[in-house]
Order: sequence, then structure tokens, then C-alpha cells
Amino acid sequence: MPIRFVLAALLAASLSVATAQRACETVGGTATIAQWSEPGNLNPLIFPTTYDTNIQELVFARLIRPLADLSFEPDMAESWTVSDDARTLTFTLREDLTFHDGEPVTAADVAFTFTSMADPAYDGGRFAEISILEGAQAYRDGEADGVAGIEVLDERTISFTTVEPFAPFLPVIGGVYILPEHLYGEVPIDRWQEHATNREPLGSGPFVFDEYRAGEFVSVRAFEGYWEGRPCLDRLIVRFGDQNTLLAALLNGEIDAAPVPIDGASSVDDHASLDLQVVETLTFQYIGTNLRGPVLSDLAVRRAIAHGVNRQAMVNGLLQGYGTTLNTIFPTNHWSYPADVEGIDYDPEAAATILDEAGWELDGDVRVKDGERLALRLFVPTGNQVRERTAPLIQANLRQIGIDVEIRTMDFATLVTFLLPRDDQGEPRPVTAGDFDLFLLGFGIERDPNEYLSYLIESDMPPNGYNFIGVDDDPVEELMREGRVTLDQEERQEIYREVGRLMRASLAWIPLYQAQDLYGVSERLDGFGPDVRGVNVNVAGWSVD
Amino acid sequence: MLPFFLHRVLQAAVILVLVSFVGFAITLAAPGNALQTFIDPGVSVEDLRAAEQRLGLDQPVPLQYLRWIGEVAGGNLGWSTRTGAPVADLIGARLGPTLTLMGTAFAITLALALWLGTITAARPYSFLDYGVTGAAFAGISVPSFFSAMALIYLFSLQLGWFPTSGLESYAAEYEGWRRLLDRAAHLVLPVTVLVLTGTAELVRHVRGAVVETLQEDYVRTAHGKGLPAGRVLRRHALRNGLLPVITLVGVALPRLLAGSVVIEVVFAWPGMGRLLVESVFARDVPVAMAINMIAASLVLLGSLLADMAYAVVDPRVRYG
Amino acid sequence: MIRSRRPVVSAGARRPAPRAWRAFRHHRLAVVSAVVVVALLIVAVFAPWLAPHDPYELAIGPNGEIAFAAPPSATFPLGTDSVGRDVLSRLIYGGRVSITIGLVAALVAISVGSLLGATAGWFGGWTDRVISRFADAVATFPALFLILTISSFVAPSIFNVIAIIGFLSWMPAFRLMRAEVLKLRSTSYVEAARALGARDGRIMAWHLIPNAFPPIVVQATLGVAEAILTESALSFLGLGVQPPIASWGNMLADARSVTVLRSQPWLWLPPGAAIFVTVLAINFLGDGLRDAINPRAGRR
Repeated sequence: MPIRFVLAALLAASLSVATAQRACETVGGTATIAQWSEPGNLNPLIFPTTYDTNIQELVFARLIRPLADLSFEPDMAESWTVSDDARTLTFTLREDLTFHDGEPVTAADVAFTFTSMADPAYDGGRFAEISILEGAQAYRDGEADGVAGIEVLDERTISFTTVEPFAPFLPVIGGVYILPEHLYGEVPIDRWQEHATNREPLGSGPFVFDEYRAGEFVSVRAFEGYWEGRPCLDRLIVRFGDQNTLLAALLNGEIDAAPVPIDGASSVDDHASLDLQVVETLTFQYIGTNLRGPVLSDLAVRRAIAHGVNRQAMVNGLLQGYGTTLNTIFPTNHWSYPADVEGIDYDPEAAATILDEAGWELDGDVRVKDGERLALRLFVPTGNQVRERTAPLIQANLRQIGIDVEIRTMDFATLVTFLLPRDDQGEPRPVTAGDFDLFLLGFGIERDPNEYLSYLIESDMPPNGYNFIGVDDDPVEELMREGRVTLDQEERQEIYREVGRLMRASLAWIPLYQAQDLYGVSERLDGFGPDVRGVNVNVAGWSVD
Repeated sequence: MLPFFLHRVLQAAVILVLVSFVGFAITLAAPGNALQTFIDPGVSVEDLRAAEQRLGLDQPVPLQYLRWIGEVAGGNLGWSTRTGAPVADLIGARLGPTLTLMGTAFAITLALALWLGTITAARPYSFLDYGVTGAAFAGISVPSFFSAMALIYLFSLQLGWFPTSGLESYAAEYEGWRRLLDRAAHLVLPVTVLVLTGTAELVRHVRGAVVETLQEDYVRTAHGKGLPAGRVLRRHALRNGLLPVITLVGVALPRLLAGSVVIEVVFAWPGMGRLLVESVFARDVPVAMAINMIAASLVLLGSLLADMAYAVVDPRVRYG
Repeated sequence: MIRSRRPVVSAGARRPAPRAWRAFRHHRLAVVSAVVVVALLIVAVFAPWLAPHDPYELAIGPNGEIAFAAPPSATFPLGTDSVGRDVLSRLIYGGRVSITIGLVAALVAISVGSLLGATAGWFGGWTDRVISRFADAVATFPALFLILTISSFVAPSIFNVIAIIGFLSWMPAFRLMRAEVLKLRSTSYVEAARALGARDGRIMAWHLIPNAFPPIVVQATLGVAEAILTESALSFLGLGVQPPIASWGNMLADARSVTVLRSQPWLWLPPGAAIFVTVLAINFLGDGLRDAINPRAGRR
């Protein structure tokens, strides 16, 4: 046979075995991005914050991953099926998946990861997410040898079964990065945080962990064997620092992309080789209330506060237009937001009338009713400059309608001691009327509106959960519980929208605004495009000139 | 000499224990602990409690202190409650950059202050004298973070001569000489700020010390003997004028460390000062305590060295 | 420090006339500084009468619009800050806060220091040793380290900032007072007073302490400057005076942003200049005072 036929055949054969290639403008090079805080833990199962997840996303991979509309597409799992009773999801992994050290990714690793979260010795804080799996609680309590609902069917197939039909089942699965059992399984779970793997992670994601220099940066390198094709970049560096320091570095060309504080927007915009990207988020800021005292339990007071605060001025002035007001507790760009929800107009006169009619009469500058002054403390946590700046605005606005507001600034951990108070022995205790009045905080949706559950049901008031505001509203609770188990997407949407309408009416949370995130990107970096999913969207496709 | 030395070391140990106790008591008076920064809908309240128990955060203060002291005595500085990393590793990684920054700044400050202090003492009330003294006063009247920002704005953003922050150019992966040069370039601005403030403080003391020495009888005698002014200055005045300066140097160490905190934050310098700020905000008690202890140790070491230098420079001084 | 008791003669003797001129010049500087400091104190005390607006009040227009970060204008001579408040008024009230912190912290420092110093010097022995060790221990901490550690845990407030700075700066006053008391304790002057039946406390209060005052006053003056700078550093890190209360430090902290630094100078130049002028004046004043009490020190 002519030699070229043999060669051609060999070439064809080798091409078919090679991993998938991706289309890159240029292959190679190093990009440097930045974030405002250093990661704490690089093990995705230990109390991850956004700053941790940003790094973990680079090194680890999951079974499925979200699209921009928060539905899911295959990642390491090439397909999945749902059982008829909707309680079982069965995933099939792709072929030839490997971890960064060459070991294959199998269903056993997936099972290991999820089972670890239910391990009796596990205290990384994520058990609650998977507690819905059948047998998870039993395993956690030490009554079983494993989680019954996690079943490895073969090398590449695994099934998860829940106790009851659970609507946000996919988001739960999609939130867990898979750990290699041969590495992480060697370390006792209660030592996971101290172990080296918490600072030198190894996974199956697009990048291989390279170096973590505390206080400076994390560096990762392209994983040649990534199932979707090696990333275009050779190396990615994530620097940490104070927001202003990083802004200066960005303007000086030392960083390719970084989040930009609002008052840095104009500097980036004016810069010749930088592009300002405006990104929607699913986070909003609100005024929280303590519904237990006589003052704030009065709906009239809450309505007056809502109408007396100029939220649009916050958006125009403090956010410089990079954001929007919102009228209930769900982000405006999510399907749970009821488009027909009643607006909250800035109308100080109407607010004053509401208070008058409720019996709060002006006595000098402050309103009084039954000997009680309409004076409230507003707790403001530091860490979000724009939010901190809204406080004086709220104070000034409310002073105009006769409400005296005392601002108390504190750091976040201190605020938590008021929201989740403890007794003298250090044990968590229920919240009382005197613990706090008003506070500023942010919230939002990470993957699914079910995340709000603990904040809105009566049984989850502290010390049991996060309902520190004290929402005790039967219709809301019923709907939240229903939303959890309703599988029909349309029905579910309507359920949460109704919750949105009801919460707008009760104003237990007084929504303020939803800010956009700003990023400065150098023209050198292509493919960088954060969205609601985070900053590393399409990270494997980023390239530099 | 040796008994004195031992005595001082013992004193230092006592002080360290005192220091640790005070620091520990204070940090634990804090509202909130390390785990309360982790409020998150996915984290159940039970899990938080379990983690607290594991880390021993729910135990009474004296018990936590004893536990900590026991570990430190055994050479174990504990683990960070924020990241789980061994504290010794964390601080070890940051010690180098802080010492580099401070050491360089200190050396230059000393040299500059000695030089300027001496030449202005030799030409008192001259234009130079007024200029330097005026600059010194100005230097101690401006907050250091402000000088830092001004320098960054001028020399990085406007002129582009130096980088704005960091230890080196991370993306470039330089080696050998190029890496050294790159690191030096990153060192320039932060060191400049420290040198400006430090020299401003030190130069007036040096000047005062030298001026006084120059009025001493033996100096006048030397002049009377016809020795050239320069030689008088160097051989006699400077050496003796140095004595109070050495004491000052010992005192300057804590000030320099304190000054490094703000500089490190502005320049994203991965040093101990910045780590302290971060751990203090995250209520990471083991790290904050360890840093305070190490800083105190460094200071004690510095003052011990200053005392010994004193003995070397002045043969009349004998400890015993 | 070895001190010469000869008249001032420098290495290269100068003509008398320029020397008087120098002395006068130096005195003039101290006098000018004193005037500046007094003026600042007056502004601080009479802030409510001098400030054109309420420092907490946002400039809310008729339609509810707010002038955020507006440049200087007729109504707002120094413009408005990022939340819409008058910068000039905040500067004046902020001065009140910063100067108060400086003064009171320095006062706390010298009070505590003098008390401890007098006690240690007078009683000697174990009392002296224990207190001196304690002073060494506190002095061993780089001040900002300890201030940071404490500040973030204690709710940041003006009172706490004053207390923290004050309780960590007493060592110089302590040493001065102790040295003075030690020196005078064994003089015949004191023995005579004792023989006449005066009690220890009375001797301390009426004789020893007033003698130590001059150097301590100098120390206090310099301490005020130091405290003002420390407060600005704390506010820069977010642990000093908390908004909405204005202090020069937290107003200056706005300059952290490059945009503000470059395009909104009215936000940071006023507080920056204020701190600079104040601290400079206090330093000159302190220097002048030091020379006044030590005319033969031969510095100038």
C-alpha cells in the first residue's frame, strides 16, 4: 500500500483520539485578573465565599453548569435522566475524564464528594444543601454506613434520590464541585480545613493549580487534558488587594481585568485602552426591620419608611446610574420577580399622611404616639461603600417626615451578633425587640429562590435559622414550602412571584436598589464577560493578544 | 556583660508573657468570632455551632488562653480560623516582605538622617539647615497614607516610572537579574514613603545630638589643636553624638513597624502589617495574636541590640 | 544626654547680630504657630456658629434631588461630598472632632503617665519595678498594631478612639515624671518639707509634679499632633471615627480612590491641608516650648 495512505490513516486515527479542540484567537500567554479579597479556603466544601469560589471554579469541575438564564447544561456529565416520580436524577459522565494528575474521574469520585458533605465529622457548612437526599440525615447521625440516596451504578453512572420531589434539585447538584477521592479521601474530614489540600487544590477543571502566594495572588495553568479542550491561556493569575490599589494597578496596565468601584467608573471609561463592562447581578440591598417591637410591627411605619426614602436618588447619585430600584425581595432580572408588583413611590408627603393617620403626631421634629418616640437605630455594616453612604441619605429623608434615625456603623461580624444573638452562656437565643431596629444588608439569588426559605418561615427564626426579621406570615410560608416541591416551572414561577407580591405588601424587608457590577477590562484580554453566574464565565475561552 | 545579657533576656520573656495576656484578653473581648463572618443561606445554624465547637471558640476565655499558650510553648502557633492554614506558615511567608521593606527603609533612613543631620549641624542656621529642618517638619506633619497615594499618583499613574503595587510583576515570571531589578522597582515607592517619614523624624534628633557634641570641651580642644573641621566632625563629634542616636534607633523600631501597616495596605505589599489588618477584620484571633507577639519580640530584640551597640560604641559603658 | 553648661557657641563662632536675628526668627515661628493653634481652637469651639450648614444634612433640593459630590459653588464654598453634605461645614466640625481627639487623648496620656510616673518614682522598689515593666510591655507593641487589634473589636466611636490612643501613649510622660520625681525625691528641699510634717501626697502634688510640668507639657503638645495623625491613619483603615460623624481623618480617607484624587480635589485637599497645617503648627509650637524651657540646650 502506498506509504501516504498509511500516513493519512495514521493521522486520521490520531486526530480522532485527540481531545476536543476549541477555537482560540491566540493560544498561550498570561492574563492577570483581580478580586477585592483573598480567598480563605480553596477546598470547595469548606464555607466557600464568592472569593473562594472564584478560584475554585478554575480548578474544579461539576457535573452540570449553569447557563446565563440559570438553567443547566452538561459539564462533566454528558447527560442525565429524571425518574418518573421526579425523585431520582441519574447522571452519565463523559468518557475519558481525568483529574489534573491523570487519574480518571469516575462516579465513585462523585459519590465520595456528595457523601462527604453528609459525613458526621463534616463541618464545612454545606450539609444543609444536600440534606434532602434520601438517607443523608441518617448517615449524618451515624445511623447508616452511607447515604442511601447516592448510588453508583457503574464507572460512569451515578444516581441521586431525594426524600420527596425537590424542585431545586438540579441547582443543588450544579453547585457541587467534584473532588478526587484518591486525594481528598486520604485526609480525615475534620482535618480538611487545615490540610494542605485546602491551599493546593487538585480537580478536573480547565486550569491546574500552580501557586498560591498568600496576600499576593493565585496562579493557575492550563490543563492540557481538559475535556472541552485546553484553555486558550497558558496561565491565569488572580491578584488580591484593596479595591483602590487594584484600580490604580488596572489603570497602570498591571492588571488585565478587575472589578471597579463606582467612583472609579469614570477613570476607567476615560482610559484609552480600558473598557468598562457593566454587569447585571442577582443581588440587591434592603432595609431590614425587627418586626417584634411596637413601632416596627406597625405596617404604617414601614410603609412610611418605604415611601419616605428617595431610592432613585441613591441609584442616580450614589450608584451613578449603574443600578435600578426594585420593589420586592427578588432581583428584577430573575424569573421570580413579579413584573406587575406595585411600585414604591418616593412621596414624603404621602408618608407623612400615613403616619398622621396612624396616630403618629409631630412633636417638634419627631413624631410621638402614646408616649413613644418614633426613633429608630439603623445598623450599617461596613464593607460596601455605596451601602454605607445610603445611611445618611436614609437618615436625612426620614428626618423630613419626623422619624429620628440613629446610625450605627459596625463591621459585618458585629452586625451578625445582633441579628443572631446569644445569651450570656454564649448559646444562640431568640431575637427580642431590643436587639435591633433597622439594618442594611444585601441579599439575592445564587442558584434558586429556595435559598430564601430559612429567612421567611416562622420556624426558622433564630436560634433555628436566618429569619431574624421575624417574618410570620402564613401565606408566605405556605407558598415558600410549596415552591420547594413544585416541579412544574410555570407553577413555580407564579408561586414565587406571589411571594414577591405579598412581601411587597408587608414591607418586612424594605427593598432599596439593585446595583450593577462594574469591571474594567484591558483591550489585551478577549473573552472576558462576567454575568450573573460570576466572573469566570467562559474562562477557558479567554485569550490575550 | 553576660549577667546583664541574661537579665535582659529574662526581662524580655516576662514582658512577652504580659504582652500576650493583654493582647489575648483584648481580642477575646470582641463581639463576634471568626465564624460569624460566614453567614450564608446554605450554612445551617447547627453547622456553625459544630464548627465553633471544633475550633474551641465557645470555651471560656481563660481556657482558650491557656490552650493557646500551651501550643505556642510547644512551638505550634495554631491554625488560622479564617483559612485553616498553620499560623506559622502564614506569618513566615509574610515576614520576609516586611523585613525587606523595613530593612531597606531603615538602612536608607539611618544613612540619610546621619548625613543630613551632620551636615546641617556643621552649618547651623544656613539655608541648607532651614531647608532640611523645614522639610523634616513637613515630613512629620503629613499622614503617611497620603504621601503614599500622592507618590503613586505622580510616579506611577502620571509618569509611569514605577508600578503601583505588589511585590513584583507576577505575570512576567522574570528570573535572575531581571527579577531582582523588577523587585527593586516595586520596592522604590513604598520605601520612599517610609524613608521620607522616618528621616524627617530622625534627622532633627541627629542634628541636635551632633550640635551638642560639637559644643563639648574636647571638641573645642580639638579645634584649638588645629585639627581640620571635617576630621573633628567625623572622628570625635559623630562617634559620641551617636550614642543618643543609637537609643533612638532602638525606639524607632516599633514606630517603623507601625508605619509599615498603612504602607503595606496601600501598596498591596504582602507583609505582616497587612496580614494583621486582614486578620483583625476577620476576627482571626490566632493570627492577630501571633503577629502581635512576633512584633513585640522583634522590638525587644531591637532594643537589646541597641543596648549592646551602645556598650560597643561607648567604652565607658559597662553592664554588669 | 550630656549637656554643656557653657553659653551657646557653635563650632564656627558667628557675629552676635545674626544670632539675635535667628533667635527672633525662631521665636517668631513659634509665635505664629501659637496663633494658628489658638485660631484652630477657636474654630473648633465655635463650630456651630461658624459652619454655614449642618454637617449631617444632605442638600436636598425642592424636588428631592441631591447634589452629590458637587464642586465648590456659592452655597457650598468647598463643594459637597459623595453623600451630598457641605464640605466646609464638615471640615469645621471635623476639626472639632479631630482636635478634641488629639487634646483629650494627649490629656489622658499625660494624666495616666504622670500619675504612674509619680507613683513609681516616689515609692520606688517593687512598685517602681512592676510599673516600669508594665510600661515596657506596652511600649513594646508597635502602637498601631495594638491600636488596630483593639479598635476593630471595640465598637469604633470617638470615645473609644480617644481612650485607645490615650492609654497607649502614656509612656513618655511616665518616664519624664518618674525621672523628675526620682531626681527631686532625695533633695533637701523635700526632706525639709517632710520635716515640717507635709504628707507624701501633698509633697507630690504641690512640689514634685509642678516641677515636672514643663517637659510634660512639651510632651503633651507633641502628643496632640501624634494623636491627630494616628486618628487619620485609623480612619483610613476604617477603624477610626465612623461616618456620618466627620473627622479630618475619615474625610481624607476619600482620597484613596484615584478618581477622587484626580478629579474631586475639594473632597480631600481641605482636610489634608487642615491636618498638615495643624500638625505642623503644633510641632513648631512644641519645639519652641522645648527650647523655651531649655535655653541652654544649644539647639537653636
